[in-house]
Amino acid sequence: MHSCQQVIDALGEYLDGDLSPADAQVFEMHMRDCPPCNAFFKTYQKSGDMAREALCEREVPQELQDRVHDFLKDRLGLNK
Amino acid sequence: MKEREDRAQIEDVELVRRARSGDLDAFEWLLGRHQQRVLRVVLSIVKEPMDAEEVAQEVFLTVFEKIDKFRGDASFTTWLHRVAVNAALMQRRKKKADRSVSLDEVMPAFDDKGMIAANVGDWTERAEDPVLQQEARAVIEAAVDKLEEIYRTVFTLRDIQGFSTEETAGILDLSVAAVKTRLHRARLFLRSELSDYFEKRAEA
Repeated sequence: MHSCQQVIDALGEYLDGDLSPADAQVFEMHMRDCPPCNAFFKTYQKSGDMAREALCEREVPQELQDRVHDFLKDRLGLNK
Repeated sequence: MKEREDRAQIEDVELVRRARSGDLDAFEWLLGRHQQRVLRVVLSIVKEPMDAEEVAQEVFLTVFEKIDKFRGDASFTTWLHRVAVNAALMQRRKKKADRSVSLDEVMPAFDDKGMIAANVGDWTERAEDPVLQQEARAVIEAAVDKLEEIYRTVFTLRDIQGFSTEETAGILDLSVAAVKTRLHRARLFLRSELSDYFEKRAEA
């Protein structure tokens, strides 16, 4: 894993902890020595963090949960 | 006197066994345990609460009717979410034509030795600006919406809903390698869209 292309291909695996310790070390050394890859990596990681923040806080409205539950109660004859 | 059962201690597999023998309480416990997450996953795919309600009702009825056919070779959670994701995708397809975007330009330009041949901007500090953050949310929502279904679904389950790579593969009936490839493509696209936004914002 010495070219930028190989390092960029491995970004996801590195972040998900799927690289071997040896490959992770090569990855980190490349990141230290290569400003464009470093900028690419930081923005790739930041994009994921921002997406999680923007999209995962969508809570399910209680009203929606209640309606689904009431529907099933009626249809299936559940107790509560 | 028989001690009251501690529901939280009963595993899904036991509740499924009871539900299969007609125990409605057991089915309701299963429902209570999984309903919120199923709804959240369905909502993240179909977007509209009314659609999510319709899909979730259908999903739980299907699960109730087919619980006899659940073979137990996947976990109950995986099976339940597979039914839910398929139903949600069907609903979304009815409402929205997939306008797939090209993912060709999500990588930087490389020279013939595979080294990056262009300037790569680092906008991570600018992304802390609250005003830009607010605008970036809209960029993110639009970007995810633009992704082709095979990428969007993997990205939503794995990165947004927090399923593991293996769980995502189980729910979508894909190999782990396919999940990783699609996830990486989706993340690259998102990075590319956000980079375009921050570059344009810097010029303005």
